[in-house]
Amino acid sequence: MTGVIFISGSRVPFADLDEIRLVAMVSGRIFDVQRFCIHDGPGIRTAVFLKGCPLKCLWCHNPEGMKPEFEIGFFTERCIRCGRCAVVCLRGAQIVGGERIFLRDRCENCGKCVEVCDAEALVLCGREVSTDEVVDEVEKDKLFYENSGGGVTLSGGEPLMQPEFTSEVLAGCHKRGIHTAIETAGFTQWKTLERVLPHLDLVLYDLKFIDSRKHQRFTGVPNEIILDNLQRLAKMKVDIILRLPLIPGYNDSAEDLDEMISFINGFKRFRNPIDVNMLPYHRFAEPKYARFGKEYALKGLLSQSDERIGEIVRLFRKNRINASVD
Amino acid sequence: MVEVNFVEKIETRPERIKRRVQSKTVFNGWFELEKLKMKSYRETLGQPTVIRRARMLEKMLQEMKIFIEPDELIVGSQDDCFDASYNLFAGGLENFTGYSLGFGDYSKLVGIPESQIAEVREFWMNEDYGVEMSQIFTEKDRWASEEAVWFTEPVTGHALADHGKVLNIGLNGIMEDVREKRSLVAGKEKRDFYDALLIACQAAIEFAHRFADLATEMARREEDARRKSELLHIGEVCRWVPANPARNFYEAVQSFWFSYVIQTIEQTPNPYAFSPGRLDQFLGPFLNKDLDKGRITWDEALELTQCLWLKFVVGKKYWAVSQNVILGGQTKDGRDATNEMTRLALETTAKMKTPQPSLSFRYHSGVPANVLKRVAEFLKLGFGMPALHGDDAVIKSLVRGGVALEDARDFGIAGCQEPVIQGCMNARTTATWFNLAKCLELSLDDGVSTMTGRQLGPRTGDPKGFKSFEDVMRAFKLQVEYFLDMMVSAHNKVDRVLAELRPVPFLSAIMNDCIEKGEDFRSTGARYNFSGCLVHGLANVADSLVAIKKLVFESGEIEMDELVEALRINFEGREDLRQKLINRAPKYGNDIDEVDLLAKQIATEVSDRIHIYKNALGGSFRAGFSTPSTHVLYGLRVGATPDGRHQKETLAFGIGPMQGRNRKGPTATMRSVTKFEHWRASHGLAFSQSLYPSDVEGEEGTKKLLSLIKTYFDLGGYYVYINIVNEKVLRDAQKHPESYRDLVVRVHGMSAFFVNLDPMIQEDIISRVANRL
Repeated sequence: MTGVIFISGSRVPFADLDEIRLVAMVSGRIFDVQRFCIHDGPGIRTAVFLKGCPLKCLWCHNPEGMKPEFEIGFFTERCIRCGRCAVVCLRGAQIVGGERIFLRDRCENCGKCVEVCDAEALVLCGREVSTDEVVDEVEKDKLFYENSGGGVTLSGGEPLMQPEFTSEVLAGCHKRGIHTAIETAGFTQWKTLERVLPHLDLVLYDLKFIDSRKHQRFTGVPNEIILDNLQRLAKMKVDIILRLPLIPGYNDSAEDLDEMISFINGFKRFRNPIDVNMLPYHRFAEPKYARFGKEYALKGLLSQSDERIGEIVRLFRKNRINASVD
Repeated sequence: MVEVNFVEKIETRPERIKRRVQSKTVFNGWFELEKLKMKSYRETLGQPTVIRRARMLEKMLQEMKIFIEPDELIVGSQDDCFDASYNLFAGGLENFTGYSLGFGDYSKLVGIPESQIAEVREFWMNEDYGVEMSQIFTEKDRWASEEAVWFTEPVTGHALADHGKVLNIGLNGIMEDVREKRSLVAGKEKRDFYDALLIACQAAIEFAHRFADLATEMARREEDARRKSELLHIGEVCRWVPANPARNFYEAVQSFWFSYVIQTIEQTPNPYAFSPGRLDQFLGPFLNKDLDKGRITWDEALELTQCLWLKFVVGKKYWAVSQNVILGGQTKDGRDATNEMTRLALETTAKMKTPQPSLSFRYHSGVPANVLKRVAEFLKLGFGMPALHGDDAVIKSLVRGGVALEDARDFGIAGCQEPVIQGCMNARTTATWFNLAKCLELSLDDGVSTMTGRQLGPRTGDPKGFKSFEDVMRAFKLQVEYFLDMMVSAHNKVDRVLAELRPVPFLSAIMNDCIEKGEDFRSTGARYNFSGCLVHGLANVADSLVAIKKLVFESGEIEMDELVEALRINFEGREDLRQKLINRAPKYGNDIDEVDLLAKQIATEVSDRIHIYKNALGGSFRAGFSTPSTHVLYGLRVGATPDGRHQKETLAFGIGPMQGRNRKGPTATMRSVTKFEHWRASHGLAFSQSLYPSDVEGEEGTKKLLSLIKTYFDLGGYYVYINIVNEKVLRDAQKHPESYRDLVVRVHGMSAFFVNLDPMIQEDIISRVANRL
């Protein structure tokens, strides 16, 4: 049997059924692979960032991972004004004159400008990769994982937006004896989560708000399914670390924190202690928004003081939750 | 990050000494010693060289000014041993012409009238050693050295004496041995040699007695009862050691210090990088015995060691005195060697925060977990110590180089990274320096230097005529071989003069085998004789060659003409081409086989080639990839390179990637640099890894740090030092040096006060920290 199938919008011919499986399962969209990650789970890890996320958190620190589509990033400071991008761009999106302007509304992400930009001022964010490619890359640091109790973490974006790919990568890593983790917002159908579980050692599960209206307002989606998934997950045989981004003025009021604590304590009967990782707000992501032509909604927002973070951690610990700051 | 509380309400004795030591910045004593040396040389005219050298040492030990400073428990100083002529980091790098022969113009720097310096300089230049040295270089040698293709120096210092011998049998014991051997030889030359050793040892004993007399005299006048008894005790100790075997820890420390400082005085004004070596091994038994018998408390031992540590600090002359104390490792029979002294030494540096002595630690799989944890916590203090050596790679490399296994297990480090067997090896660690990047530059212009237009190298062809990548490689290899031949021949002449005219009788007495053989250490007295070659610019050459291969010969994106022209004009107006070279070809240090394996191939071929050469005394050359800040200096002499490096820009450090070209973090870099089997570089290699304090925070961070280290050594790593510091802190220190007087960072083989470093070296460190390299 032969024919064509469509993967991520492109036509892929295939020869037989096996090949369909092969082609259909091995491809995914990622935007980065970072080695020596030490804040994304235990030990020394490699983090694979998958492109696309159903949430639009105002504080997102990987704005380039939000859209599933490829995007062009522009690093102004790297531009040497050679003008080649302007020559190849058929839509006139690149202007290199007295001023250097990138008119994003004209851009169709064709990537021609990126190809000619030797200075890497224009970069394509996102690439289609096979699971083998990813697993091979991850495997390079296997010795570091073994010696440190580390492994791979699929992050994003949202890894569960590409469940086949995620599942295959995790399975591939498992096959090669590598500890696996995902970092997820949990906004997905339970069966999707269930699907990746057999290949998963650890879930880093984000919790932003307990109040669904607030969740809707600041992340773009309600949270019932997120909380529900977490409760189900708590009963499964997988390690969980809850990750709490602490955004000043958004989710760190006494009331927010109380809600959070009582929710977490609600499933203590399934697992105890519960590990919670606090992620204090920082502004390091701000420059990335400009590079991808996005507005940063939290401009000017300051981080909490170390004292305040300490207070919050103590509050959780007082409630017998194993909280730490990452 | 682990905090250590350095602030105490009442200044302790070591702190008081430290304050005094740090406030001392001008050291002109070396100049007084030069005068004594000249005086002695005039008196001994016509006598055999080895006797003249012994008499010269005797003269200095008899007549140099001696002091016992307030609070001191350990006496004797090396403050007067170093001149200012090793101007590696002293600024004015543009005028760098090497640092081998005698004195330069430092009168302004040290406040000694120029005429007086000139007088000393002239004396030594007209003396046989100066005359012979100055005749060695041909014009071509001189050109090559000026343009930093290679460099050679007569190696002084850089040795690990068998101080344990002095502690255990005393100089009297050694002299007995010498007398016995002397009675068995007939020739005058041998008898002169043994006589010289006796003169030197006797002078050393009397030097200690001068301190004994001084202490007793000071005690007589001292009003403070406690200090009075301390001085009386110092008197007794100096009366007993180093003449006799040390009877306790205190005497062992003092005896070691005399042994160390006298070898240093013997080689003034340039006893660079003399290193104590395996201090925990030779002091450990004395400490253990005293602790076991309750004769000393931990705190008393700590105070003594702190006093000893401060003896290694010589003002701002961090560059001259990379005094390496290596801890841990294995015993001669392969057991773990860590002991209480290991712990005490680590604690001493953590307390004193002095850059000297430079601490190193020998890592192997049998080091107890609690010791490793201590080492990791120590690293987290952020001053780059201890540097770490992998026993597996180092011992393998030594054994393959002809060192017996039990000796190989007893290696220490002279200066920075170069492995030396304690008491048994003349490694001539800094004998030769070689610049691969300059060779590449020459191979891309038919042997002509881009920097001066001189025909420096052989004519290996106009690159425009190169038909394939192999043609480029061939030209490059021809340049390398031509200059290695030239360098070795020059070095061997230099070394012969050094061996003949600069014997070192005291050092020969405290080394092994010299007495047995009746040969001076500088000649063939040592059990092992090697000459080192420090190879520079590996990453630049690998990155450049892979760029040529890929962009010129594979994709054809760049024409050879265009490339050669762009290099000649230092990429002026060709930033586009430079960016292509940087971004469109893989770079060493990112775990990409295409370029890493090329680097490995070059490193292997160059090492193998170097190992073929023999030095003047029949020993082998050893290849090393260490660049003690000389990558910055040599870079100044190298034109633009096809890795996108501008002319005069620094070269890469040691075996590491080019600064800023590694983008995949420490694990990728470590994998890249270990693709070349490190044991092949039997002269050692340098690799630095910077981490942010946040990378290693807390208990978890300590574990991660240790696993990173373990993995590096599992991969075959030879050496690494880890700077855990923020770029921000270093920038701030540049702006407000007064607030960071105590900030110690790792420079290469040694640590130094950051604010005392030359701005160029500061920038190099910051760039490596910023790039996590």
